[in-house]
Amino acid sequence: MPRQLLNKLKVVVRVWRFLYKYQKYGLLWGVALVAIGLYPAIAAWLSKKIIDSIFQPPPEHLVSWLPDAFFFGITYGVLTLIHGIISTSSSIELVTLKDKNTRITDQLLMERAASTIDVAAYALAQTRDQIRLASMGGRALPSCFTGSVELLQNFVGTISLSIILIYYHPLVAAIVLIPAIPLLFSQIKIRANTFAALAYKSPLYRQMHYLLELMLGNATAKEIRVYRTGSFFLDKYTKAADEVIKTSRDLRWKATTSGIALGSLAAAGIGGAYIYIIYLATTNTIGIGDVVMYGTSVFYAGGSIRYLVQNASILSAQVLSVEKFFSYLDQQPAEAATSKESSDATGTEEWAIDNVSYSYPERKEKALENVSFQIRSKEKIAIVGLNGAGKTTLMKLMLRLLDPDAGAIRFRGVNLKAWNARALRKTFGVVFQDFSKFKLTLYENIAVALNGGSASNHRDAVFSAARVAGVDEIANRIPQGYETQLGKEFLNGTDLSGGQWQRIALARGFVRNADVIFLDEPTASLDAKTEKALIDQLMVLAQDKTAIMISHRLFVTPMVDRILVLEHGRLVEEGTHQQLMKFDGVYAEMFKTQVGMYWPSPQ
Amino acid sequence: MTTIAAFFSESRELARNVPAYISILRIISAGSRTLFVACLLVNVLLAQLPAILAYTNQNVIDSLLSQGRAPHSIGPLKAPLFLGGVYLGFLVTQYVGQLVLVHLSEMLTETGSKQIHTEIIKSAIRLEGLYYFENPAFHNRRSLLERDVLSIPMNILRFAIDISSISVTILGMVLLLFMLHPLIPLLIVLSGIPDVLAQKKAHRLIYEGIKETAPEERRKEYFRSVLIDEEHAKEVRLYNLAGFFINKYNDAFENVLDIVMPIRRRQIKNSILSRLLLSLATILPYLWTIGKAVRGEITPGHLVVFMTAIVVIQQQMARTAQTLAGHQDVIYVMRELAAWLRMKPDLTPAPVAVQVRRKPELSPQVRVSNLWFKYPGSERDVLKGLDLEIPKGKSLAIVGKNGSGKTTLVKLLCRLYDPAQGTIYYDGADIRLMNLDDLRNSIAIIFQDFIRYQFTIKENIALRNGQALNGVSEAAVMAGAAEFIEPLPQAYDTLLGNQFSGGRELSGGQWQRVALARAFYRNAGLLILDEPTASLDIATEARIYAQFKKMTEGKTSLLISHRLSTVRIADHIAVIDDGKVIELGDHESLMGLGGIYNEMFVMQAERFRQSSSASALI
Repeated sequence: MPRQLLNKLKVVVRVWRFLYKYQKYGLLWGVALVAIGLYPAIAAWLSKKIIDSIFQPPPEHLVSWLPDAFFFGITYGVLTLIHGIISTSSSIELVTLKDKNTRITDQLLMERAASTIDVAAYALAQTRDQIRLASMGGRALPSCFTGSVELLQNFVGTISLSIILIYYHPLVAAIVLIPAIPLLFSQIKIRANTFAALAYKSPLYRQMHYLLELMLGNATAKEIRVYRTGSFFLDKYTKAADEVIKTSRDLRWKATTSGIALGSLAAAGIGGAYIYIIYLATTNTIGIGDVVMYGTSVFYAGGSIRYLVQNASILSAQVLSVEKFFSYLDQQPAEAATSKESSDATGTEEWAIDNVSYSYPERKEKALENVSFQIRSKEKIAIVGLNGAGKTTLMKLMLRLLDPDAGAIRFRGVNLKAWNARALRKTFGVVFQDFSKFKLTLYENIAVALNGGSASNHRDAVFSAARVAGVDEIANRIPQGYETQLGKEFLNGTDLSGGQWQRIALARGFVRNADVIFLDEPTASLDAKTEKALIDQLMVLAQDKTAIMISHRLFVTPMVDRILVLEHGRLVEEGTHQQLMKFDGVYAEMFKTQVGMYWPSPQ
Repeated sequence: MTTIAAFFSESRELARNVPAYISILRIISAGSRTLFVACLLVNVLLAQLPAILAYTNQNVIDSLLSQGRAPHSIGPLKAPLFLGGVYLGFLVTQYVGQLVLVHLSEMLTETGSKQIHTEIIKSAIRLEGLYYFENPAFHNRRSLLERDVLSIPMNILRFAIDISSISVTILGMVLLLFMLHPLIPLLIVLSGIPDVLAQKKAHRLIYEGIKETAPEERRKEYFRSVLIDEEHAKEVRLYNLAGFFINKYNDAFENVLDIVMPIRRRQIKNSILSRLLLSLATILPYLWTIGKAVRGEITPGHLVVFMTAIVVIQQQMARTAQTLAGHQDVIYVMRELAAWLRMKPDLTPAPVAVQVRRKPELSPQVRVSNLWFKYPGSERDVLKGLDLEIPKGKSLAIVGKNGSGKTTLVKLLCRLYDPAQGTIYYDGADIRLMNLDDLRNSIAIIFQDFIRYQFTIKENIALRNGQALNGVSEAAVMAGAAEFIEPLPQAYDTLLGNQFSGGRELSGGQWQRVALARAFYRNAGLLILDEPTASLDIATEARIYAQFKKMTEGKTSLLISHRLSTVRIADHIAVIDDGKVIELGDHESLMGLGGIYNEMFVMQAERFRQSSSASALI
């Protein structure tokens, strides 16, 4: 238990250091708030002074022209004013603190999330959960800070009051404080259980969030309405919500019953102290002013301890949450120690895929098995195969979005793992099959490949890539041309069709004018005319590039230098179109099937 | 004067919020009326305790003093130790009561959350068309509610509890102070009002500010999600976009702050001023009370209780101001919620009396007559007098350039929008007069961007609970999906997608086959396929090609595709350009026409003809 407490304290200290690093003014407010924790003790003492000076007036006045009672009364008023101003202003300031803090934690989270290299691990459900908890933790950071400030404030208040009580009569202090200790620990334990339950509920919450997105989202709206599935999903949502409620209910019941038992004990302790004070007064051991002071102190101490307990347990939960945030940030993404920025290899071999195997995390079957081939510089390669053959996986491995389980991939003589990831990717242009449709402007959707395209020389590159891909036609038909916001969710947004988006993806692939270009089904949703124009353009543009194209559409394959045929993760055939047709294997069968659909032989 | 005017305007403002507030409280309490009432009762009872405790305290002090003078003239009821015991009893009650209140309110919050979410969802599902989804204001509101939807019930409840407890406490203290002098409570309460008003005004300014900043907030959240969610993971890494999106995030954030900061600064200034006023108004009666005690006009017990009451009222007034300020978000969200729940349907359903019914499994004759349509908020007509007919039980393929209006036509056929001009007829009935359930159930559609539900395969196909497997596996066989489903360890119970742990991601082509199975399972008379073979491989496309006749047998079907190899086997083909039909016929007749269709077909197919003949030469 003490070690846990120490760990929690470490997190709180780290929170304060975090604020010191990023938001010093927040710390100042924190200190001010802690300072006004002294107010209740001082107020209690002043009330004793006021009563005593009225009913047992001292021989001479502190201030000659003012009865002491008024002097103390005015002091009390002024202190109350200061207390009020600080607490009001701080509550407003802390809202700003919270907002700005969110910016900082969000930014750190974004940087950290985007720096992981392996996309498959990133997509795993437990990574998603981890990130979600880290995200909640980051957002809990400012509350953790204000919670710790409140706790310190309570602490200062309780200590200062206790000092008064102990100074005048130690037994009273003990009767008040001791019952609160078991209460404190039981509350902390309950909060920890609550947090564990929260982690359990996290997948449930994610499911509810997903269902909410389905039922309220833009992209899913039409299908939900035509299939009338709204109530089906609402049902699922309700079931998940019910399970969440049930889990909480069991926990809460335990918390409340133990809280009532221990809490009544603590309250009785406070009441008992009060009775004791009265007893002392009946035996004339203490005066009326003392009674008032003790009475106020005891009452306040009781409340203070209760707040202390509550705040401590809330803080405890927040600390657990913030800890997830810090621990996620602390994880180092796997980046190679040595990283080459370029290669001075000469020779025409650009790519060497050497006995590569890969299976996706948590999957037994191999997506790729012992695949080996080479690609020469400026060669045009087509990778074909049925769905699930491993084509896209191979491409992701070559782009180093994944690392192979066995074997190696060398680009320009250097193993991909030894390359600096950024330098490596700068030499690639990519058109993905499931490319991202960013809710940015048309210009930016192309310029993301140039890291935003804000530099002056970027504009030319973007516009020329757009022309090639046929995007300028699109730009002419939408309200603000290239500056049009895409995606209906934002103001003045425009929706584009699937085919229009595909042309943008193509522009994105070419805008870098990279040496190596990857194309994954680049023309799947284009109409015949656009497709032909684009393929012709592609062939011209890719002339002095290495081009690797994944395609179902075998009609480009006769135009490429070499075809690689994948089946169930293995490389089964390799050669030119003529060679493979002569071989009359898998490829030949695929090709003849396509021919048959366009030009069925007369029956 | 301005204070008085402000008082009335703010009161009107408050009054306007009350109906929305009550309706939401009603939703929260819907599942558990007793819980709700218990919560309020406990709250009100608890709120009276401070006054009771103060009064007991007063009696203790007075009885202590009087005991010194005449120990036996007062009965045991007034004996100080007995009163001390009473005080203890109330203290324990207060403690227990607060725990019970927390317990009850947390329970109510959770059940209330569920109620509210359910109502939010129902309001959205009630919208039959897509009109609202075109509107950014709708999305603003939606993302605000989504973000805050967990905290709404908690905050609303706490607000109700705080306000009611403050009111009762103040009332109790006012009654106590009345004995001292009637003017005093009046003075304190009145002096607290400018503070409350100042906070309220600030809250309203913040409310306006939040409305103004909502779009930027959404953009900010979007940029954040791009980097954190895994949807865009590969492009973020490939193009090293972290910095780019972080900058965008920061810009959006700055925009929000620019609006919000001046408001907050003013709020602080105003609250300091009003707090000064309140404190002054408290100190004066306080000193006056001390003066009375100095002159011996009141007992020490009374002095203590009056001092306590004055302080407590001042605290509660300050707490009111803070509660109002701290809950400005609540009030704002509450109004947005109320507006959301009030959303009226966007499509006018036909009156029940004249509604046309139809059986979903019957295949209709579909006729489209002079259809004109443009999207809300757009200047450009997408459909410009389109005429089309699909004979009963026959298949029609539509081809055309991107953006020529094909998908729009499909949306109108599903009645997701109503056309500006023209009519759509199913078996001679205007679809606007048709029962909407019947209409939609008559259509089995695969959209180009169909949904990949992160549920089991069975659920992805049947979109229902607990259906017998037969229908599902038949549909899967027809779609060519059974062959990869059956070998899986859990077959049709396999969880799909990588959002939830244990889920299995399918390839694009496999997903398309699941979507096809979904359409077949529905057993509807009209089958609409929007680019069904876009990501299918050759083997599967060939199978669908071979089975097309069988798949569409007896159904009226509409096919949109760029793959002219698939299009050619439809009974009829229509070429659409610029919102109108320009060529119509079957494959042979259109080829013979030598027009656009011929050109497109040759462009796509010639490579095969060349290549096949080239290979034949070898």
